[in-house]
Amino acid sequence: VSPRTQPQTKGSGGEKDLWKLEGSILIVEDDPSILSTVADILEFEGYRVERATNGAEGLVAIERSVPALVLLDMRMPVLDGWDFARILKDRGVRVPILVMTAARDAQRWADEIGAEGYISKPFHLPDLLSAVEEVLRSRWDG
Amino acid sequence: VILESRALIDEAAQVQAREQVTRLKEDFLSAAAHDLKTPLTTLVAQTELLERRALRDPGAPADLAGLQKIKKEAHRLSRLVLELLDAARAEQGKLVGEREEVDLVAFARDVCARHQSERHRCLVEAAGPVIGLYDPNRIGQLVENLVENAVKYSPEGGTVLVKAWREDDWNRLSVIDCGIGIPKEDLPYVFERFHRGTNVDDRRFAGMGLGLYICRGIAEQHGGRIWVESAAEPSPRSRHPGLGPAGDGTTGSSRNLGSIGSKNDGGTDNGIGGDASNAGACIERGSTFHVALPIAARVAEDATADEGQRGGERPLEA
Repeated sequence: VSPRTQPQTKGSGGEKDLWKLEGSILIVEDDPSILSTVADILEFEGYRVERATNGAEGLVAIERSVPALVLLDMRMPVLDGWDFARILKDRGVRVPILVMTAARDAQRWADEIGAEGYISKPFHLPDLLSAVEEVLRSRWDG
Repeated sequence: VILESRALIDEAAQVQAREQVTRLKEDFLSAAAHDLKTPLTTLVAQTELLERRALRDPGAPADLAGLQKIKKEAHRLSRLVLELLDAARAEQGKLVGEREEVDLVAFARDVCARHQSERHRCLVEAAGPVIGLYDPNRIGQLVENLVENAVKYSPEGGTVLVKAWREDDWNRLSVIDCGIGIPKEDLPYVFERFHRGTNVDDRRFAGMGLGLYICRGIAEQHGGRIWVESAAEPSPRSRHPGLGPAGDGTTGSSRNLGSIGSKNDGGTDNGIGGDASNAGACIERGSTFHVALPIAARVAEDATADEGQRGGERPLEA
């Protein structure tokens, strides 16, 4: 089975997951514990990770390098998820976004900013990974 | 016809009031759920990460940092649950426990040190110890809530100044910030349960709207008062606790935050973070929360009186 259709995870002894190497994942999250935990999980699974604690820092990170995926918290100080997504759009930067939120309006918020989908907090680790994988693999396949 | 109209108006007012209560409760439940989910997110995800690591490499050493993160978030969750319980205790007038000698300045320094960051400076200004007979846990919570609030609503960063001093029969504490401030229409409701400012964007600031309500309970159940000034709302009545408004404990006042760094009662003790006189000024923005607590002797008298007053009586009214 090709790694493109059956990704293996780091540490499981499988083949290298080429689609994981396509780009980094930018996590934009103001809660330091959630930020570091999500980053640890993704790094453990073999992804490259960039971190930002609000939308403004996220924009700076994207100026340096456009990631393969953004995991985006919505309620943040300085620059929230809505403004972050709007500025990206205004600048013509196209990058898939997964909204990460504890709000019950997750679906609506994801639709509002044109995100690929959402992850509801609190999430289980397999759910986070499968959501990330789905977006990145479709990008790789596409 | 007049009577019927009057009845209709009354009924409409009651419906409006019920709708307001329902909306506040819904907002509160939404905010409470959000706040509880935040530490839960780390707890669940971090635990599952530790499990996954252990399964893949059973011989690996324990991930101490990961365990500490779980512990920290469990405490955070615990604090939130306690806050909910405290709100209920505040309602019942049962917040304050055993009292002992407490130095407000020591509490202020401790709290300020914990809230220092690259983005926020927290300074303490005091001429010396400011001691009273208070419940130390609750006074710590009061100072913590006020400083945390000041930091939270100063998203662009800046200086938070905590002043403590004695004035006549009162121990005074003020927490001054240059943050987003409080609109005039919110001033009467700042200390109400579940209330959140109309300029507080829920998308940027999570919160249950209980912190200031609990602060008021702590101050009043110590025989004291708490009130707030907003930079944009002048009022001359805020200089002494006895001169504050009687009804809701809030006031508006012109507050020249150029006074950040000015000396109080003949001395300045910049316990944390450097020279308060260089803290800068913010005249047009921000808010100042004031607390006045009776000194020990007064508290001892009130403590006896309080026994018969539990259940909502406020011992200090202007």
